[in-house]
Amino acid sequence: MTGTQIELVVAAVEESAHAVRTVRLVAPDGAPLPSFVPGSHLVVDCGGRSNAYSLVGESIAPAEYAISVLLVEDGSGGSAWVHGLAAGDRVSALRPRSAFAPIASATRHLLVAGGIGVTPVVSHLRAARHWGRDVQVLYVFREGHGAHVDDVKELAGDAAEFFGDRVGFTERLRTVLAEQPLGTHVYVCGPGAMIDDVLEAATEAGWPASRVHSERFGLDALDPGEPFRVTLTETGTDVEVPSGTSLLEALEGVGLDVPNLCRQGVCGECRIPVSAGTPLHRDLYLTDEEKQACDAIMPCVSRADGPTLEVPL
Amino acid sequence: MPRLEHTSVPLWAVPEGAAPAAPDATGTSYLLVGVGAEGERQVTTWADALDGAPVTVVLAEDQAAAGVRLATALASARVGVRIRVAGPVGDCLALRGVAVRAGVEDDELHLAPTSGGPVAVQCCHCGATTPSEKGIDDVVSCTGCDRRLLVYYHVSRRTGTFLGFQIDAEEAVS
Repeated sequence: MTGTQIELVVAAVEESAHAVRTVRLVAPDGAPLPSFVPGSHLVVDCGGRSNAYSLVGESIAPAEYAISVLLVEDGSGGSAWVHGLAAGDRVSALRPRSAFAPIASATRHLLVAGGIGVTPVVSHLRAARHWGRDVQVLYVFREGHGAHVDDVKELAGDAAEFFGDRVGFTERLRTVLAEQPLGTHVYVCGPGAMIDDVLEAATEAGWPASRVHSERFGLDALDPGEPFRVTLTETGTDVEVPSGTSLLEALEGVGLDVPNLCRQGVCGECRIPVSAGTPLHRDLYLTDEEKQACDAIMPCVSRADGPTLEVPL
Repeated sequence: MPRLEHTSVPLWAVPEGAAPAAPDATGTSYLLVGVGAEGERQVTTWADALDGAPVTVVLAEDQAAAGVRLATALASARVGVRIRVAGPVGDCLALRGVAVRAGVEDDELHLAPTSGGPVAVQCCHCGATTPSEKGIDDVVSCTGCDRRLLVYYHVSRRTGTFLGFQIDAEEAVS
């Protein structure tokens, strides 16, 4: 187990926006829960499959862990499982993990949210208020589907702008990106296509990679990927990984027992070393530095960037 | 001594170190700083190559004057700017400190030493800064407290000074 497992109890469930439920989880004995870095997520065991959800509540010795979950109708069942929860239900999760933290040296924080991607932004805003940080928020969502709009208004005040259409948002984003004082960092969370647009706009506006931070969550299905061959140096065999089959499935297919849990690039359990070849990282677990090092891969979602990969298994 | 890339000493700041990589040209505006005649020449070369993008030029005879004007320019700068500095190596280190303190990130900053020359060694005992032509593992005499300082393989990002400490600090006094 990568993180420490914690047992929680559902204290309350509320419909916080259309198709969005906010679930408040507490310790069984009511004690304060471990503090977490703003922007952290909780990996929840959704009845056998693990999903990561950003924490939206207070982060310092909190009385509860609150998550807001959008029901994905044609998803793989994790969000539907969360939507089936009721007060008193037991939930098991891993301790909060930080992958989208505010940058300590930033003098200003530009937070860009799309749809349910607002959840880590709410956490950032709570910390920003606590520490008196300078923030600006751009939040785009479909009419009637805005989660945490009141929280954003309360926490950010005049520094928050809301958009109901993509065109107006994109136009305003370009203006805002061009007028940020040096020292600003930008954070974006939302659907993959929206993140791509924001990253592209930031690059066009001359933003260097060090100032741009994004978090993608499993809102978009991963593409099946290109086929490749993996060489197992310890066992001395080659395994073909066809398009649509994960590296993890291919390894299991030849009888290798790779410990795994979430099978969607979130939990970190299935990490294996890489000895040659370039991985095509598609996980949310490894840090940017670890990804650049090219010496480890999360086989549940990641593939080879090229025809071959070599792992010492 | 460990490999310098595993220390805080930039490779461009030591003799026989690596030349800096080509400057990044993905900015939307540029702030070019030149110290001395060679620094000015480099700035002119850069400005000519940056045909079209808005360019602000700061030229100064010494690091102190350049630092004041660089800090002023950075105070009103917008994200998208890239900063390039050319001058003697000690001045590059000091001006990097000015930029770092103003919130400039490493991937926005390009430093191109035009020559070697003195670097600043800061005494960890009295705090005084001694200019020195010497390098790592050499010994300099502190202008503040006269201690014999070993120039250590550590450079402050904020001040651009090398760390110096008393070379025989751990020997018992008889």
